[in-house]
Amino acid sequence: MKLETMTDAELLLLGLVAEMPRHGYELEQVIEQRGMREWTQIGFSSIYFVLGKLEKAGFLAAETPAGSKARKSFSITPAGRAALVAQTIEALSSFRPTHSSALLGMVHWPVLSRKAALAALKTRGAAVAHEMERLERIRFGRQPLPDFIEALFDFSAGQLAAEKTWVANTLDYMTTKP
Amino acid sequence: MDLTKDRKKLMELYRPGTEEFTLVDVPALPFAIIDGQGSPDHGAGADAVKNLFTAIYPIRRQARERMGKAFVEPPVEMLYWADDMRDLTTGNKENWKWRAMVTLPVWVDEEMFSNAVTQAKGHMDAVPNTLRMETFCEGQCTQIMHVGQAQEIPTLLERLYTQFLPRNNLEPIGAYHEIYLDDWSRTPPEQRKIILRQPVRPKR
Repeated sequence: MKLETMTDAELLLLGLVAEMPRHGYELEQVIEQRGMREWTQIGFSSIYFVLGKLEKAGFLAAETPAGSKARKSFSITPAGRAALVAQTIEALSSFRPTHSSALLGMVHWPVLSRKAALAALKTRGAAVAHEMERLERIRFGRQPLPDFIEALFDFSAGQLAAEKTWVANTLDYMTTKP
Repeated sequence: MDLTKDRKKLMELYRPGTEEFTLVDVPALPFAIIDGQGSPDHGAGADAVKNLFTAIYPIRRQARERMGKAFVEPPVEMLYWADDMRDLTTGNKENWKWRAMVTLPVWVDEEMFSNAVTQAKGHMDAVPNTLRMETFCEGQCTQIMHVGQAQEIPTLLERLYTQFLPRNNLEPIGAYHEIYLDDWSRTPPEQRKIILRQPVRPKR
């Protein structure tokens, strides 16, 4: 497995196993508890598939404890940890601009009637406010969170707040201009 | 006492050594508190901790904004006691009483606390009726940092009660105290740091 070809799901599981050795069902529980499906696609059945891939690549080591009902426990290997570190640095340091649909919408502003354009922007504002509330509820419900996860929520909250201000200012201007 | 203004005291209280029991004078500190009875295992303790942190979340957020770099993540603290203290040492958890606590910034007053609880209400199944804010002064204590499995704690405590305390002419007074410095869902058992603390007084 080459580093650049690692999927989000692979990286996610690698990170969870790096925290401490875990077996498949435990990983499912952690993913559920931390709401990780919110931003990555990983089904219950694909957990085992991905774990198998990571094991084959030499990033994880599987251990089957004694006992017939014992489940396979996965732990990270030195190669796995090196891959995780490299990928995390890459994720944190590289800035990839994302393009909001607002850009395309604004480019074509003149094709809309003023009324339709303003209404569309208002709808966007409401959706942003709704998303802010939803994130806030999640954040509240998941206490206590470590400080780096609080910072992660701050990131999304900050982006939403900036968009909310932009919508309000733009609406203001477009509504009042003669 | 404002621990964020006295880093030395903060380290003394929350970063004791792992080798020997040491004596420390614990000042009065404000806490958010939830009390419980019976075994804290199987969810009861965890539920209390969750409710506690949910209730103080508005305060914590305010603290992060207000204090910036000076803000220190407060750990989960638990007091354990029993009417018959033998139940504690023999691990008869059904007869235990416990208190989940988390320190609050010194500038939090009753009004801020009740506002926080009001905001947090909708995010809790039910507001625990023992949830409150209280200033608590432990005074003279002995403590040690344990890094590792929780099963190793009884051995350390035996050393405390049968060797360290008698040798120093001290006796326990007040509830036994554990402070959990790690998030157990993210730290393997052998790396978990737990402070074991016992308030003491000179033997009479």
